[in-house]
Amino acid sequence: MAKAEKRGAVLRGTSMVDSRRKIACAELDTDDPAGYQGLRNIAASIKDTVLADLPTYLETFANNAEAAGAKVHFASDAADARETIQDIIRSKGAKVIVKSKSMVSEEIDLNAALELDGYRVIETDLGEFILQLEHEHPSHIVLPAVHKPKVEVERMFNKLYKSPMGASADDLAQTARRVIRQDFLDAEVGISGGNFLVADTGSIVIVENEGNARLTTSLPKCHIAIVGIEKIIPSIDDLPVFLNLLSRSATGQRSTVFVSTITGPKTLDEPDGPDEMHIVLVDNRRSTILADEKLRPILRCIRCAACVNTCPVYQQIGGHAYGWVYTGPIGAILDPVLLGLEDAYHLPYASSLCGACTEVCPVKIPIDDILVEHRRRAVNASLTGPVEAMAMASFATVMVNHNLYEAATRLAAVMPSSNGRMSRLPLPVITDWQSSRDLPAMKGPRFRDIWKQRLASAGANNGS
Amino acid sequence: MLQTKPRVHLFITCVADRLGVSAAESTVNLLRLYGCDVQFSELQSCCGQPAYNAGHHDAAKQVARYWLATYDKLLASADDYIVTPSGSCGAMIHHYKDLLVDEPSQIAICNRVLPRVRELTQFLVDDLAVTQSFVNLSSFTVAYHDSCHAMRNMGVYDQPRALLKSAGATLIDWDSSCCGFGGLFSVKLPQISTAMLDRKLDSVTNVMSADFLTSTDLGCLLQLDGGLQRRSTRLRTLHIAELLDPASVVHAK
Ligand code: SF4
Repeated sequence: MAKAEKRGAVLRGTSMVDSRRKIACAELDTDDPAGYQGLRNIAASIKDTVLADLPTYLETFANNAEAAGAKVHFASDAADARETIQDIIRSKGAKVIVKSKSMVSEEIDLNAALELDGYRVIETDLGEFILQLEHEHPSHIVLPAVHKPKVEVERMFNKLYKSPMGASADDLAQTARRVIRQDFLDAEVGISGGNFLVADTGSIVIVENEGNARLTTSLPKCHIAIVGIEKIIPSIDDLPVFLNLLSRSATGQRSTVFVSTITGPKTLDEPDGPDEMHIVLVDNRRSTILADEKLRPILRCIRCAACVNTCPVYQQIGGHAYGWVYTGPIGAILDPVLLGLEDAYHLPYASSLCGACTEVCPVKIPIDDILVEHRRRAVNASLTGPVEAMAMASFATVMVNHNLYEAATRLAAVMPSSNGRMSRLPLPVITDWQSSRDLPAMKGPRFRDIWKQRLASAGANNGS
Repeated sequence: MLQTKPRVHLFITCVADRLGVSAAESTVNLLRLYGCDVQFSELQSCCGQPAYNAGHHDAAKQVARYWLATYDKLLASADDYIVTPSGSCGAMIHHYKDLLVDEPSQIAICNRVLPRVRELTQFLVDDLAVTQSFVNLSSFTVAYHDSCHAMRNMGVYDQPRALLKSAGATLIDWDSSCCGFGGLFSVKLPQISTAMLDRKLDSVTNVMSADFLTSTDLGCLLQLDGGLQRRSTRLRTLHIAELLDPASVVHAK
């Protein structure tokens, strides 16, 4: 596909959702403490309370979930999580597995492992379904196929399912639904993610707009939820604050179409639901973040992707450029921990530090500060190379030494120029700048020269 | 307006010293017109932002200590102000407390000096309560670009707009997205930086028409101007001080 076409789709998709978010949040933006800013403060502080004592909350959650009949598994890393899930599925003798959207399943690369085991795995979220047809990974944590121009999906559905060209988004969703209807009925296992783990009730909460998660978690006999350990909230009473912020921040809706609160498997007097429910709580380096005071706020994240949609860098490069599961600003602060700084230190540098992400984050994660913190660590680990280190050391030396500063800024005037613009020069930094932009000439007096020549005395004449 | 003449120590910044001389000069003119006693110390250099943002915090700390020592000496009274025509550099100064958190003596200086730092338009509107303009911009349409750091870290949003309006300028409603400068980002990842710039410039050159692009930040202006020069347009970039200063080129007949 043409790169420009893809970029256009990303820019259009994210800008549209971003402006919806703006409107939905502005609607709450009153001065009272329950307004939008107030809710952000409340949500951030609830999350911090949990993070200050995460093991206890996890234990409470696990006890309550098991009391409701679910089986809770703790997985320390990706391999552990995969094996836990593979064991459960094997014990069910399953052949077909339906899945609703789960970024943690991407994080632990679950589908590949299950397909290798010979299962048929069907993604039931429309975006994920489209990507699965093309063997692609999501480029966005909420809008997985945002990089796909709609016409391309029309073409694909036309070829595969005889859906007409020009079909509406709703029509495309209907087609997908028709295709996977039988799979829902055939599947022995349904795998979902989870937006929140409610400690005091042992429930998992899933928000969605398509209804596919509802089917995934209720039709198959066995439901497996994979959730990161940071998704805990203390009480069901805290849920409204988070639902309000999540739906507005993620899609600009006042509330999503479906909110499922699932507490254990089907009970005897319930007509439907799975016979068995497993909750796999995934650590996978989240404990490392928890133990790190500077990075800990990352664990407040509710994966709304508001930071992604508003990010001017993401809007230009799209999600696949980040090279891994979590993309955009949240990816740039999370991936360096989950993948290791050495493999992902370049991500925090892919930002102008404009701070748009921090401004919109519903749980007030200081994303731009954490980007700088990762950069600091990359420098300390000598990942950014000796040339840059030398340049920065000389920069500091010049800036703290008056004579050197004078000499350097005077010397800059030797740079060749014409018509007030600096000539094109084959010099590092300058070339990179001039590849697309002009630079003014450094000729003529500096401000300090003018100050001495005429400004200082003009001030004196004014009697100051 | 204040009773006594407010004393202002300029922080011109290294960029303006070399690349934004007329913006810096207009800053002086403007502050004097509004009755300030303007001081400039040649000992000043940079705020250290390039090193800070790139993660080279040892280098940044060196520059921060130097900056703090320089201005701590200059402040003759607790009422003195430090005013900069570059919002991003002003915002950097406010990072010093985090940067030097392990150095109590530096934190003590921060506590004296940092509360006195202002971005130019913020100082004019918030501290001097300026509402009158010395220029007439009523024949101009102006697109104001929000410097991300001035806007988000220093709270500069209404002030520049109020000043431009008080001069009679017609303001274009330009979106507040980043121009793609980002200091070293602009040369480390020039393609992304330029893509951001193009988007920002396209919206004002293709969709709206203006006479001037202006901002409170020399970094953003360098980027915006650098991109504009490669296009055929009559649009020009000017620092907001130049637009408001009756002695600047804009107002020269
Ligand atoms: S970092 Fe904040 S804005 Fe970004 S996905 Fe997480 S909660 Fe949403």
